[in-house]
Amino acid sequence: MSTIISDLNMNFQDYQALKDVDLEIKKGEFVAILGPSGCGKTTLLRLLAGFLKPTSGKIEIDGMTVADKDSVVEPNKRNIGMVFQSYALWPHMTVIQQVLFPLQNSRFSKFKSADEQRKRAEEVLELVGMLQLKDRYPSELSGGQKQRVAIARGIVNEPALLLMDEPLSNLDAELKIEMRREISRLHKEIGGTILYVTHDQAEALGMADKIVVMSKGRIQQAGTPGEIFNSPANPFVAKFVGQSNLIKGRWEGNVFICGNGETAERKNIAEIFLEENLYPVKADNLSIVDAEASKFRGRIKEVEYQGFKNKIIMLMEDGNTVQVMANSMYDFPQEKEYGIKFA
Amino acid sequence: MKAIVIKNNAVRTKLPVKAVIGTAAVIMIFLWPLLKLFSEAFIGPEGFTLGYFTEIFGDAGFYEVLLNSLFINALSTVGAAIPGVLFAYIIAYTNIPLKKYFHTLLLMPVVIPSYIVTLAWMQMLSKNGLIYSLTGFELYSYAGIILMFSVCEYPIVYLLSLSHFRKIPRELEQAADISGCGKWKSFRTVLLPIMKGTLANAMLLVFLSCLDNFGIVAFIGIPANIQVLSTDIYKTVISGTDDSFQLSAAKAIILSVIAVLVMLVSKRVAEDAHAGNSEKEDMNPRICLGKARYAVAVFMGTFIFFVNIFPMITLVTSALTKAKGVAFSPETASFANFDKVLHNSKCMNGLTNSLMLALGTVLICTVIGVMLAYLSERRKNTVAKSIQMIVTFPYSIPGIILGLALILTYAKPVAGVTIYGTIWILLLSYVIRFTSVVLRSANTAFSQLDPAMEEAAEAGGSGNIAKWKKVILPLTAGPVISGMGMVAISSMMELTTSSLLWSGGSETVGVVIFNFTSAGMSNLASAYSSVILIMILAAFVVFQLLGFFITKGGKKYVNDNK
Repeated sequence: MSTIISDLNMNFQDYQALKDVDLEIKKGEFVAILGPSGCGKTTLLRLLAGFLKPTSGKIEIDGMTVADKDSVVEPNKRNIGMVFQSYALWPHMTVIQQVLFPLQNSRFSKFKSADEQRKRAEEVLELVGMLQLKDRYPSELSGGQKQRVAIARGIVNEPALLLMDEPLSNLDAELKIEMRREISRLHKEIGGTILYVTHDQAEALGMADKIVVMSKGRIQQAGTPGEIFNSPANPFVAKFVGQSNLIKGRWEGNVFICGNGETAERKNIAEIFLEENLYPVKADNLSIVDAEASKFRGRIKEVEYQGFKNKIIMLMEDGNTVQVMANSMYDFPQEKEYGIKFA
Repeated sequence: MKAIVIKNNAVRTKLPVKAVIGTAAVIMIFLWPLLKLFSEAFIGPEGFTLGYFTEIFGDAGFYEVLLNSLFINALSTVGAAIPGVLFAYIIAYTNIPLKKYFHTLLLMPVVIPSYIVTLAWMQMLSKNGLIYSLTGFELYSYAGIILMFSVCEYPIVYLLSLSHFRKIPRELEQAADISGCGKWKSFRTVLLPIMKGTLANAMLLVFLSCLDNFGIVAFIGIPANIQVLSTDIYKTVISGTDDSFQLSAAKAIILSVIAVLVMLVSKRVAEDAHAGNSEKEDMNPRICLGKARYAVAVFMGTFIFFVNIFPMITLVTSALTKAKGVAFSPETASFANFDKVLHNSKCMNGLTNSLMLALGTVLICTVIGVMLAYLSERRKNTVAKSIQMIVTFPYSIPGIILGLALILTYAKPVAGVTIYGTIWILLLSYVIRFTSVVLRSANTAFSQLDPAMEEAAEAGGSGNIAKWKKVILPLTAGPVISGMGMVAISSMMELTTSSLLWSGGSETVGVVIFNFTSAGMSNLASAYSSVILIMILAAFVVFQLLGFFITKGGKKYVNDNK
């Protein structure tokens, strides 16, 4: 029941959108594809849905080869569901009709009689809390309600793979958090396999079992949220997901040296950082001290108030620009020189 | 800012006088003839009467005419809808090659008048022709009229559907694909239901256009002895009996009632046609056909060739044969017909008349249209808005009725001036018919123009003339020019009202072709039509270039703000 993507390439004329992508999504897994816009994540999703034909490589869903170099299976013949960014609810159908539609049309539907289909549709609407609004048209629903209907439509057939294309990006901040919890709950309750595309790291970290970070058409790192966040495989992942500082200096064995000789230990740091003489460190893991207490010194360039904390941007003597999170209770006069300590 | 407010107030205080004069003039010009016509139907020798209506409704022949009209028009809307929707779907969604050219060629019937198209088909399907011997299709029949209507009117459905197809978010169809539907199923269950408002509106507009049409039913219907409302009214008018005007006025009322009802329904349908669609047209192809795209292109090219191009070729070749019924070959080719046409004073007269009329109509319509659109869009002037309604009303009334109304109003001298029997009555009728075309494009242009543009010009210290010249006109020119082009072609080719209002010396292009055809001189008609075709082609090129050069800046502006 897993989805296997092997050696997938996608070219648009002379632009290569995907390069040698290999990925396995196990049954019941919630996988988030995370990356900035233009990284190829939407292309990957569209290839899985069958809206695009790959240049080379193979896609297998639930034991069925849906795309390889010889043939491509059309979207309607794949055992998938999809939740669109724009919801894509049909304006001329009521809520229940939207949910019944895949049951009536998909060859993978397990619910054959009209009675079974209606029962199943109502069951799913109940699950997303939309049963009482089942006779409404999309124009009569709020953004969050549309989202719930779109999800219900996506899962009603219990597809082998549910594709979600930035489903929360059109919602306001509060609703986003609510729907995030909702999707996690649904995943636990129904246990389907989900591929979730997003550019929002909080969504990926909060919901997924596995995160796949993409950039420039390549998979940069795949792993659990903890692995991605705490031990980034390369500078890109460190910056994009961990929002780490990449401090320039030099490595001597397992010791990193910067400024006028300030040192830090190697902890969970991939080899590539050593090769590039970079030290990845999160803003939270740095502290500002008096100039005399550190050999890594600089001046405060900017202070951005963020509520509990201040984000302080420092320009160091050796040319590094470093972000530090500091409790907003403390005040740092900007004209003074400060040092930085690694936690 | 303050200065502008004061200036606006100054304009407001001056308005009532201008508004009263303007409204009165518009009512006199645009509405009075129609009111006069409608009252005529109720006035008998002894005052008010419903006698003309009882006479009409007591006549079994009239029911036949009415049924003919409804039957032919209903089937024609279906005949126009099928190719219209099909080609709109292909052009909007697929990746066939040469799309731009197919699009332009599909719009040929918009610029070539229906009577020339009909004449071309008459030549193509003539009894001794190849196509007739192959198909045996009898053009002078119900089927023939319906075919010609479909051929001439499908662009209405095509254009409206094309724009709507592009506005349907592609995800709606993809969601159906994912749910298990094939292309045909998602077309039927998702696209078509979403489109149905637009489609219904387009079909009603086709119906309306068929009601209005005179060329096709006159060329094919009269010889086949199939009468419809417009030809019936025409015949009643020219029959010259004592009560011919009153009877035709009564029939005109019935026709107008049908037309206005259809118009109202179509407006109603159009209003709720756009639920759930994006504002912007998505021009990227959605269906990549692979190799099949060449097959689709060939299918489309074949259709366009046989429906739009081959008839025109036959028209030219038949013009090049000396006598009617002789098959065309290089040996029989001769320019005799062209020679006759070019040395015929009526033909030349018709050309100059039509050109002058087109020029005059475009100028007057543009001034009235732009002024009204500006006043109602920008100044939110309620008087201007009501005047708009009066000006657009005659457009929904079939042209034959307007012609009749103008005869009734201007047959006797008005204020000591006789314009009936001169070319001026034609100019008047064209202005009444076509002002709403420029008005609609000007409305579009002004609704797209950001008021801040104008305010910035005023704030920058430019006066009225500079403001119009430097800011308003360049930014609105695009849509207005395309409206002007439409009016130029429509008035150049007008036949319906002209057929009633022309007189010796004031023949127009349409009338000359009509008279040749009625007299059985179809080769001369073809030669003359060929000359007109070449002129249309030239005009098309000129307008394309003109629009291209003038709107360069304007188009950029519109795009930037979307």
